This record gives sequence, structure tokens and C-alpha cells, in this order.
Amino acid sequence: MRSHSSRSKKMAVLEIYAHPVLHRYKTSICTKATVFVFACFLLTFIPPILVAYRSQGFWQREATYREQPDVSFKHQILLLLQTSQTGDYLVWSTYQNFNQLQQGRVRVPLVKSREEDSNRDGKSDALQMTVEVPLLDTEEVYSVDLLLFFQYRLYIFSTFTMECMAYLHHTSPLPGADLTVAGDLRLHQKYPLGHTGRDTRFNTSIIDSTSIFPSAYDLRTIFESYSGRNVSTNFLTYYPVWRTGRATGQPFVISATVRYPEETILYKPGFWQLIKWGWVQYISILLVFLFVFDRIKTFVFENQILNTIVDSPTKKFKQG
Amino acid sequence: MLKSSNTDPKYQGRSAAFVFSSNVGTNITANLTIAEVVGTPLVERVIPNPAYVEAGPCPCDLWENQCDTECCCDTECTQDDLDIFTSCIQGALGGNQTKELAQYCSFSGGPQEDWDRLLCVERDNSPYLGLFYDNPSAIRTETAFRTTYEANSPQYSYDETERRETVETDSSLAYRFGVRCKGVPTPLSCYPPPLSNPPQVLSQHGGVTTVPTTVEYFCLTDPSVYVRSTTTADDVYIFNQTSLFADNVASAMQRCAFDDGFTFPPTPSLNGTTDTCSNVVLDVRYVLSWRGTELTGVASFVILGDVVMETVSPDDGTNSSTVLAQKFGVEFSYDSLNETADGTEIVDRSGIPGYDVGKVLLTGTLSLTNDSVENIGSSGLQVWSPGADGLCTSASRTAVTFGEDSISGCTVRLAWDNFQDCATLRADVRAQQEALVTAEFVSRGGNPNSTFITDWVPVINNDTADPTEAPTVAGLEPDVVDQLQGLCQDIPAALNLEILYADVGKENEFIIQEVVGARVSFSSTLWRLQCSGAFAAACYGNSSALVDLGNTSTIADLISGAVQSFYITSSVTFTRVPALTPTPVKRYYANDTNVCRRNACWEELFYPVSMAFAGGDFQLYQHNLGSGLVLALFIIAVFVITRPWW
Repeated sequence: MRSHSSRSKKMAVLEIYAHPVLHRYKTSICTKATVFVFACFLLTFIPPILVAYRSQGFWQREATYREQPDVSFKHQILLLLQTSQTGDYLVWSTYQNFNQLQQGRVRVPLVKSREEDSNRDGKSDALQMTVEVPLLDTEEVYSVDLLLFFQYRLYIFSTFTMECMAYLHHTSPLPGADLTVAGDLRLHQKYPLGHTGRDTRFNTSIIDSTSIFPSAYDLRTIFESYSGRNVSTNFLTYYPVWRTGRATGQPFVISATVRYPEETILYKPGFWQLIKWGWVQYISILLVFLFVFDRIKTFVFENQILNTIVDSPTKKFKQG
Repeated sequence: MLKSSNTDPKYQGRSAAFVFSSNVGTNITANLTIAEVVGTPLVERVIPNPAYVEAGPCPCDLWENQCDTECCCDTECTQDDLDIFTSCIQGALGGNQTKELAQYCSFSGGPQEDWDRLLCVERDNSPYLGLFYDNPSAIRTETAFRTTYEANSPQYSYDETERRETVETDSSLAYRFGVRCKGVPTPLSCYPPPLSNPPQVLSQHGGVTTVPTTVEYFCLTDPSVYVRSTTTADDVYIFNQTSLFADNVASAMQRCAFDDGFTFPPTPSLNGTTDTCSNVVLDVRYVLSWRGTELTGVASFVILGDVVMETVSPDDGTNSSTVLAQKFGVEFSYDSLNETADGTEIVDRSGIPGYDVGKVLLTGTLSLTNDSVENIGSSGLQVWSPGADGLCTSASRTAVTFGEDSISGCTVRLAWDNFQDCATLRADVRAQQEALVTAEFVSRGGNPNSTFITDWVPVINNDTADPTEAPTVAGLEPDVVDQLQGLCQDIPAALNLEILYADVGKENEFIIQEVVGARVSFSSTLWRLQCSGAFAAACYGNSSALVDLGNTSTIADLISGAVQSFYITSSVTFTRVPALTPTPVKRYYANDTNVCRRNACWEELFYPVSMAFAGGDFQLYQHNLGSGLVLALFIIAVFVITRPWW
């Protein structure tokens, strides 16, 4: 009977509106409550930053992005063939000073190259090239060193330009008829790039083509200085095919496919990106602390564990 | 090592000693053929159910009915055996199955990952969980083998699964691309066989009709092209032998005297006294004419020659045997019905309607009546194709192919005397270079009409000044530079051919590329003898320069006429240009790189529903866009229903 009446009473009452009641707790400046609130303030805002920082990865020191480089073959070549096992060699390069130094060792090849844009996005995707080196029947090729020079550009973050190099190399104890390689021109970074600006630190000639001294064209010199660069490229090929059996009067043929793949590039994020990611981490931890300390403060002041003057809308007259 | 303080009298006063002792006993060799078989080979070991019994309580127990050395858990070992063991095998192998992994809760010792503590594995060796492998018995019968194999036959094996095709199964009477031509020997042949099994009468597939063949014999007086030469680089690059250009004598091959179409060729024979092998087959070329899906005829060309054999003398250490390279070739030639009608030669078309990459550029010259293009072919624009030794004397020319940048050249060897007359040298080089570019027109596409001048673009050549006249510099005598000794300026050593092409359309997703411009230019070079370094002798090649030095005439004779190498090059560059002149864009809006700067450009503000995210896949783009719209609709619906702010 009783329950029935209470249910009917409940059913009759509707909550049609609600608003929070604000309780104000007041005290003077030199009290425990003030110290407590101040301590709560510090404990709310300082620990999140410590938690975020000490759990590692707070400041985003480096980030990556992907970009297909804009590579173009500079039509500059340096070619070296070992034509006997006793040290005879043939060379050719597009550097006339070098050719002039080598005189009788120079054998001008027939070089054909083209750059393909297979996906038609305006950037070349691969270089196809063939080098036909005419040889006498008495000359046998045991080793090939071929340097190809490229212009390498990146645009998305820092506008990066450099001259870079692909080094094709193969040695065989068997005299060859042709060499076929296919590989990728991969970016090699020692340090992250900047996030903005124009970067032409390495847009310098790898070979000093104005030099009339042989040392400028020595592979040891070239590689020594090139490997010291912070940013360079490597030609990576795992599948060279060296075929033997060169027929009478046939040239030695080098066929190369150099692909320009999309690269994952490391860069240093800018100030605002740093701040943004820090803020995201800080605020997510801060929310937990705010909630917890809000509950603690509510508990402490609601139960008057620390004495304060309660300025409550419902208890206003009682306190006054 | 024994220290000197050792008191043993044997080692007194010695700082080091090495004691070696060996016990040489009799050689004991086991005769295993009479060894007794221990155990019963056909009896298999019965492994008890591992759910209840430990299957391998003692893994080091390898021998049945014998005590294994150092295996303390082996039950066959007696106490006497155990006493003489120096140590027991440790760990699981020795029967101590107590290995603890880092993931176990009971793990103690060694570093652990953080989650190993949090989510450690409680291990229970109870048999009730167990799923154990069966213990299959050995297969001893073929039936058992077959049953087991069929139950577990591998997905892939080295079995030969494809049928071998020995007969062409195509029953149609026509040839298709890639089908082998069938040569059928016939007893009625009038033509002598040049090889053991030549295609004399050609049967169409199925043997319905036959086409006759012709054989022509050519006799080569100088077969050196087919003989492996023994020339070395030192024979070619002689320090005092100049080398300029070839004399352009084309040697035509003569039909053999006996070749009247019926006579057999003479048998190859070796003359023992002169070491000459006469009438050797050097080269065989088959030219197969075709029309539609039929072959209309086969022509064979056989080149014979007399080869002088080098006498092999193994004692002198050099490889002096003659190596002959025979060449064989097959060529398919389209047999046009109209060929005899209009008398024109068929030109290889380089793709229709534009050019295909790698095909030759079609060139021509203006006809006398100025309304059409004649001499259509590929020989009008060429680049150097160096010969085996790289010298210009042996260099030939090769046609320019579309889309392929190329560079090539050859070497000339010049001495002091060649620099005396710069005008002649300059004219020689220019004449050779200009012989590469005889064309006045280049076809726009691969299928030009000779009477439509719009199908052709002119080859621009602004560099056609009379080469014999030296350029005049104001205030100077015309050839004041040429009067300097040992150098010649303004040598047209590099020929540059620049060709512009454009993408003019698309046909079945293939881009049509057309040539829109061509230009020839020469790069002038200063040729100068290097008077320092290893090749400086050329500078003193002028013997008169050394006469003054006194009694050095022998040296002057020696180095007189020393040469240095100079290089003549030809290069082709293909440049893609827009088909239409692009409209000018303000610099602020120009985005020639076509990239999204810092991945923060306005085009990709809504990246998930942008084309860039879909990677050019239009269907994926539509899918993403649809998903995005559904999501937006859902959010709007949530707001409309919940009404958080009104």
C-alpha cells in the first residue's frame, strides 16, 4: 500500500530543469586551507608535465615524412673498365680534362639514356641507360666502375637540392660480355633535415671538373669526400648479372636501371609542431589530475576538514 | 712456462720448457663388417602416453640397454658407472626439466621485460590440458605409404605437372606471331644446301602450300671481320702515328663467280701448304617475306671466304690460334603488294600516330619542287658509333632513336704537324660532323605523309658558316690565333642535337608523343697539345725545334711526330615541352613542383577525403568521400537528436 502510493508519487514528479549550485569557501590568506589549495594547485599542474616528460617522448625531436625525390640525371658519367688482369684499363668521362689526361686509355662509348615517368606524376621514376664500350678482340673486361651523377631535389619540408652520385661496380674473374644491373637510388641521411628553408649545403660538384690534375678524378678521393657528406645517395643493387662470352667485334654493354623510389625522410620538427604535440600529451594527463584533485578538494571542503567560511546559497542565512 | 725459480733440477737455468709425451700403441681398427647387430631393428619403441608418463625423462639416454657416458639419469647406469663419471650432463638434456623462461611467474633471475611481471605465465604441467602428438609407426608397406602420402600430400612438389607440348596444337593454317616456321626438305630441290638442314621449301602450317626459296652466295675477299683479331691497344695507339678520319670507301660484296643459282658451292677445303681454309661459311642470313598470316618467300644470303689459319705454336706462350666467328641471322620483311607498283622502298614506321620510345627518328630532305619531303629514312640524323678501337677511322654511324638521350664519339690522334694548318683541320672535323646531320626535316610522328609539309618540322641549323673561313675578331687579323703554334681554336668537336617533343594526346592510355622542334649546333673547342706531363713529347714533335739544341738528332728522330688524343663527340638531347603554351601564372600561385608543401597545403586540408589520400584511385576516392559524408551525416544527426545547445 505504501509502496504503491510512493510509486504513484514518483511517477507524478518530473525533473523539468536542473542547474548546479555553487558553494563558495572563503578564508584568509594565512590559513591551512590556503596552503592546502595552493598545494593542490601545484600538485595538479606540475606533476602532469613531469609524468609526460619522464615517460619519454615528450618533445618530438625528429619526425619523418615520405616524398618521392625529383631526380634528374645530369648526363655526367665517369667510366672505368679493367681490361686485363695485369692492370690495363680503359676510361671515359664527360669531363674533358680527365679524358685529356688519359690520352690513349680513353675509349669513347655509345651512351644512351632516358628517364621514365611511369606513373605520370611529373617526376621521373627510373633511369634506363645503356653504355656500349667498343673493345678490341684482345681486350677482356674484368671489372666495371661507373659513376653516374644526378641532381636530387626535395620540396615538401625543406627545399633541398644536392648533386649526388650512383656508383655501379662489378668485378668478376671471368671476362665479361655485358653487365646488367637494376637497383634503387636510396637517400642516405646522417642527420635530420630542417623543416623549412632552402638547403643547398651539398649542391656542390662531386668531381672538380675544372681540375687538370689526376687526383681530382681518383675514385679514392671522390669516395672519401662523398662519404663524408651528411646527405648522400647510394645505388643499391642486389642482382647484378654478369654475362661472359663476348663475340668477335662486339662491344661491352652495361645496361642499368636506376630507380628513384619514394623515401622516408627524417626531419627536425618546427617550434609549433613541437609545442602542439607537447600540449596534446600534457593536457591529456592534466585532465586526470584535475578530476582527482577536484574530488579531493570537494571532499575536504564539503566535510570541513579544513575550516573555511562556507558561502553557500542554501546555508547563507545559517552562516550569516 | 716454468719460471727460473723452479727448483726442479731438470729445468734449472731454463726460462721456458716444453714437455711432449706421446704413447704410441698398436693400431686398433674395428672391423665393422663382422660387428654384431645389437637390438632388434624391426621392433619400434613404444612411447607411453605423454599425458600421464613423461615421454623423455632422460634425453641423454641414447642407447638402449647401455649406460650412456655422463648421463646420470640413465637407469641402465650402475653405481660403478656413476662413480667414474666426472660430471653429470646439466639441464634438460640431463633430465632436469626445470628450465624457467622469463615469462613464467616463477622466474627468478635475469632481466625481465616489464610486461612479463604484469602478465606472467602460470605454468601447470597437468596432463588434462594436453593435446599430444600421436606416435605413428614406421611405414613398411606400400599400402601404408600410399595411405599416409595421400593424407598428407604436399601442396607443391617438383613433379612435372604440365603436359609437354611436342606438337603445335594450333589447327589453323596461318602463322601467328611467335609460332615456329616449318621448313620441309624436298627431294625436288634445285638449290644446294648451305647447311645441314636448311629451309629449302617452306610449307605453310599444315602443309597446304609451299613457297620456294632463293640462295645467293657472296664471296668475301677480306674475311677479317669474322676472324677474331689479335690487335692490341698498343698496336692501335702508337705514340707517333696520327689518325684522323676514314676514307669512306664502302666495299660492296660480289656474288661468287660460281653462283648462277644452280651450281653447288665448292666444299670448304684446307690447303696444307698455305694454311688457308677456303670457302668457309662466314655468315648466313635468312630474309623471310611475309604478308598477312602467310610467308611469301625466303631468301638466303650466304657469305663465303678464305680464312688463313695461324699456325698454333704452343711453345712461344702466346695464343696464336685463329678464332672464327660465324654469324647467323633471320630477318622478317614485310612483302608489300604495292612495292613494285610505286617503286618506293619501305621505311620502318616509328609508331602510329606518334613516336614510340626507342624507334628511329624519321628524317628527310626538301624536294626540288619545295612541296614535299623526299629521301625519307633514318639516315638523316645520326650519331657516332665507335668501332672496336675507338678511333674515328673505324667509327661508323647509327641512327638517332626517339626519346633516348645519347652521347658518343671517337678519337683522333694528332701530331704537331696537324696543327700547322688549322683551317684544314677545322674543315675536316666539320665535314665529318655535318655528315651526321644531312636531314632538313624531321617527321613529327611515326607515320608521316611526304606530301604534307605540316607532318614535318625543320632541323634548325644556324651554324652553317663556311667552315674554311676562320671567324673574324674585330681589330685582329682573321687567323691570329691560328698562327700560334700547337693549338687550333674553334674546332667543332662536339655536335649537339636538341630535339623537343610534346605529349599531344592519349590513345588507349598510351601517350602520343610528337617531335615539335629540332636544332643542330656545334660546340667549338680549343684543341691544344699538352706540353707538360707524360705526353709532352708531342710538343717537340716539330723536329726543327730540336735542331737548335745541338746534337740531339737521335732523340728528335725518336719523338718526331708524337701524337696526342683528341675527341670528337655527338650528343642528342630530348626535351619534353608542353604541347600548348602554358598560360602565365602569378608567381604566388605557381606550384611547379606539384607537391603539398609541409603536408599543410590548403588542397589537402581535408586529407582523408582528398584525391591525394586515395593515391589517384578514383574508386577509393569515391569510397572515402562517401564514408566521410556518412560520418558527417551521423554527427549532424547526433547533434540534432541530442540538442546539446538549444
